[in-house]
Amino acid sequence: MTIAIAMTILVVTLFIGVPIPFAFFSSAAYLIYTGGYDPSFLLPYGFSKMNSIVLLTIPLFIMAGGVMDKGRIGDKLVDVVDTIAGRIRGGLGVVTVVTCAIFGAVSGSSSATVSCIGSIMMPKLKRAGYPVGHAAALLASSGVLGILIPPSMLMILYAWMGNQSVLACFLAAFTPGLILTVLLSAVNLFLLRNNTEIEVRPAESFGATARQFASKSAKASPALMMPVIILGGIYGGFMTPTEAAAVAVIYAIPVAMFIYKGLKTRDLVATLIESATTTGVIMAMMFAVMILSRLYIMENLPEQIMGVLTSVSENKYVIMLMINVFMIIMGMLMDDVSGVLLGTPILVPLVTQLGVDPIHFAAIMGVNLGLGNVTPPTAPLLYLSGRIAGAPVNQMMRTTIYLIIFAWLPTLLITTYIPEVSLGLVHWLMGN
Amino acid sequence: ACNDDAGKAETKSVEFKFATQHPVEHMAHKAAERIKARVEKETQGRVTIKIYPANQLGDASQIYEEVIRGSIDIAHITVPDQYDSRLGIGFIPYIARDYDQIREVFAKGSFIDTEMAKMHDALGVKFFSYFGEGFIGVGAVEPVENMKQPGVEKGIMIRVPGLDVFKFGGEELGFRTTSIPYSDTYSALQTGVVKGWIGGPPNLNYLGFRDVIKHYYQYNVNFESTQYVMNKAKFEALSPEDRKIVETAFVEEAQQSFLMAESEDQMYRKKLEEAGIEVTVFTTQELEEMANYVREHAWQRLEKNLTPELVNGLRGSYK
Amino acid sequence: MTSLDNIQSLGFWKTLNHFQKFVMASTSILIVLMICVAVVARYIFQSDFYGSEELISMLAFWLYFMGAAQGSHDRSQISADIVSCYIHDEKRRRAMHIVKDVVTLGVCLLVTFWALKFVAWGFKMHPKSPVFRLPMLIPHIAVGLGFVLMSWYHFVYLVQDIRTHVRLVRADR
Ligand code: NA
Ligand code: NA
Repeated sequence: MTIAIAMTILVVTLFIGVPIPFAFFSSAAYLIYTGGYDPSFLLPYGFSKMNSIVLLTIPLFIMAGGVMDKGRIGDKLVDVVDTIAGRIRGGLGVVTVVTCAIFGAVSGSSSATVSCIGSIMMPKLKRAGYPVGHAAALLASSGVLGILIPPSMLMILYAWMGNQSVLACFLAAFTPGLILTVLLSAVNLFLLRNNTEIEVRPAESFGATARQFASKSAKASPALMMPVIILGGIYGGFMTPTEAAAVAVIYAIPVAMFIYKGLKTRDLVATLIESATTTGVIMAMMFAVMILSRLYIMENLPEQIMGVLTSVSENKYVIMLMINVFMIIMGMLMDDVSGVLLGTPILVPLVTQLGVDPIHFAAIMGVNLGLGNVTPPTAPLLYLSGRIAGAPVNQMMRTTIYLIIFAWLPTLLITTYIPEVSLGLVHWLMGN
Repeated sequence: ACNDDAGKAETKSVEFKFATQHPVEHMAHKAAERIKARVEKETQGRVTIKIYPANQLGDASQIYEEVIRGSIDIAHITVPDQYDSRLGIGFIPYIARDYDQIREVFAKGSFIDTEMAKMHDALGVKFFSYFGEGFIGVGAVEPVENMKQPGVEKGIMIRVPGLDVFKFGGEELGFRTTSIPYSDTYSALQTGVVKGWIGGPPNLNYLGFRDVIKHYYQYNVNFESTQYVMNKAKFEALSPEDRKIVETAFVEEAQQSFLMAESEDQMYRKKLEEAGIEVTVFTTQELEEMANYVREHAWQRLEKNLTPELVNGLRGSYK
Repeated sequence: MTSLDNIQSLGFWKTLNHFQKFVMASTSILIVLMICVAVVARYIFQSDFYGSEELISMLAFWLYFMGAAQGSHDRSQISADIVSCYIHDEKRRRAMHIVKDVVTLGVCLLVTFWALKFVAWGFKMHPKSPVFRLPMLIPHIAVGLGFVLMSWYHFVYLVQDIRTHVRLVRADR
């Protein structure tokens, strides 16, 4: 009962627009004062949890993302993909999806991916006659590739909270990310197959295409080097993920300032402050959620949920399905970061009991909470994308529903029920 | 409460929150469960214990702080040194060369045991006992050069926990060291950021690292120890009889741990060998030489934080 | 109280914001540089920037909490404002907004109180960092100050929102 009221307080305060950290705090305060706890341990607990070098990876990737965004690094990536995929009906949609995936390999967040690729692609898509609602919906879903393709803020958080290897979590989400890339592209092509309003660029000779591709790739190579440095640095054994993130910042600054000339010295300080604000806002949320989840543990929330679930069925697959439904509901109510923060401490003990590898669960959670970004009412990517495209949300719904049914849910089911999809790469590259 | 007891002078039962850093598979968790059962039985339910394993309530430094505050009652943790730099003395390199010496060093009434109780007491904490978990060696991807000569370059860089007691011990043995968080250690070994690591007894090398390391050297350079501690006010609020029951339960289990740790070390060294890892153990003579060398060189570097009095007192306590 | 209406133009407000921004930018730069120095130390000099972690962590808390305060200053704390999407009447929406402001400020003040007790504990017990034995008060104060600043901004915005609302209601809007 206490837990139910605490949850209600959380949902009500969230809905009336209380900033998420304070919504979490209000729920925590209720538990504190009704549960007879001494509040003195809360702040030190939040502090000690956040006193972590791994966590520092997040602001560093946000910083790198900010620099890349301002530095027009995304433009060059779009150009490369466009020479190949721009020539079929719906091809520009595929370009959007694929560039989001590639940009995802340098950016750790989905909103950075949406805002960067969106601001480049939207004008092109509109000019080519794409229905604006379709384009915006596609962009919103593609943005999630920013958190499935490593590096990923969400996976860092999960690893930090679940005490897992960051590298392993990165690798686990990678293949589901590729599957989603393919399915999103396919649904896009299918939906546009009979749309005659869309301009398609005339085909060129193979030689001309190859020449163009080569020249665009050369221009984009400093940008394309970023994933090589980040992922190569981590996997090649030169750096820990945190170090790779710092090196990414150091690398992105001269590329943005001197090669692509998109960033002035004055902008750099502004970009740092902007990134630091984003960081601070996320960290305030983490601080609050750490405190709340500690209270959930003391109130035995995971055991209570497990009790309810196993009373429905003892079957592992059925329980996993219920956990997925639970996360989809969580994803409807909150954004991905809050979801992973709140979900990890509650759900990881549950799935471990079921014999699910926590690394496998990292991928399940990534896909699931990624989906949560485009499911209303709380659908930050849908709204962000709509704002960038100038598309009302109701026009985005048709495509969004198609994408959910034919791209998202299949990816989620594959990831959940075929552990090899996420663990295969981990085992292959990391042994164990 | 409308039952038959209503008339009797009711003895209030008290529940203690017992936080540990150990996962439920760890031998320390079984020990915690034995203590819980024993205390609850012998006090006839006047004292009950709820165990929160696996850092559920926070990491060791957080748990210790809460033991001071009283929001956690009892803890089984690696005691952090943030409130008193001397609390880290148990990890001083070569505190003992082998198990025979360890049992003397950490026995009830020994020098360290007495000093530790005083330090905790000043912070409002009741110290029950040290708990032994194993001798720490070096797990490595490549063979170590000059392995028997302390102070001579070992040819590889190893990961150490970010604490002087580990860093200086490793350095004086002849390793180049770099501090990397435990959670990154596996991938750092796997990718070659470092070629070896200090910080775990055989069980940890087997359970967490057997797929990546090729060699294990039982240097005994540090001893993995944890402690049973309790909030002092909560302890003293118990009746004298219950106090004795609680303290005895913890102390006896803790003293037992040194025997269990020794057989665990042996068992896991065997498992490491079965997993194809080359395990090197040293003779008492060799360990004695290493211990003497490292104590001579590393201990004075540690005096600044551990204080000369404490270090010299320890030095004088060996027979 | 009138001065709260145009507080944004006062020197104090601006100086405070400059301070926050200075801390945010400088800690960002220092953190990136220190991590890179650690990488270089390992590969070029085969050695170790020992203890860098604890220095970096201390800077990180200043980055996090001045950033969080800036989030309140910019009114950019993340929220999932759903109810107001379904309120179409301007006046009701503003009233809802004030209810939200009041709850936010109340909770923020409570946490600030806890945070100040947390800082006070540091003054009493003097916890120190493991390697350099620096006072843990350095990062603790960042937490305390962060929440004080958040309370301050939420307070100012609450007062301003109420006054705007009252003015508009008087103007019958
Ligand atoms: Na990414
Ligand atoms: Na959602």
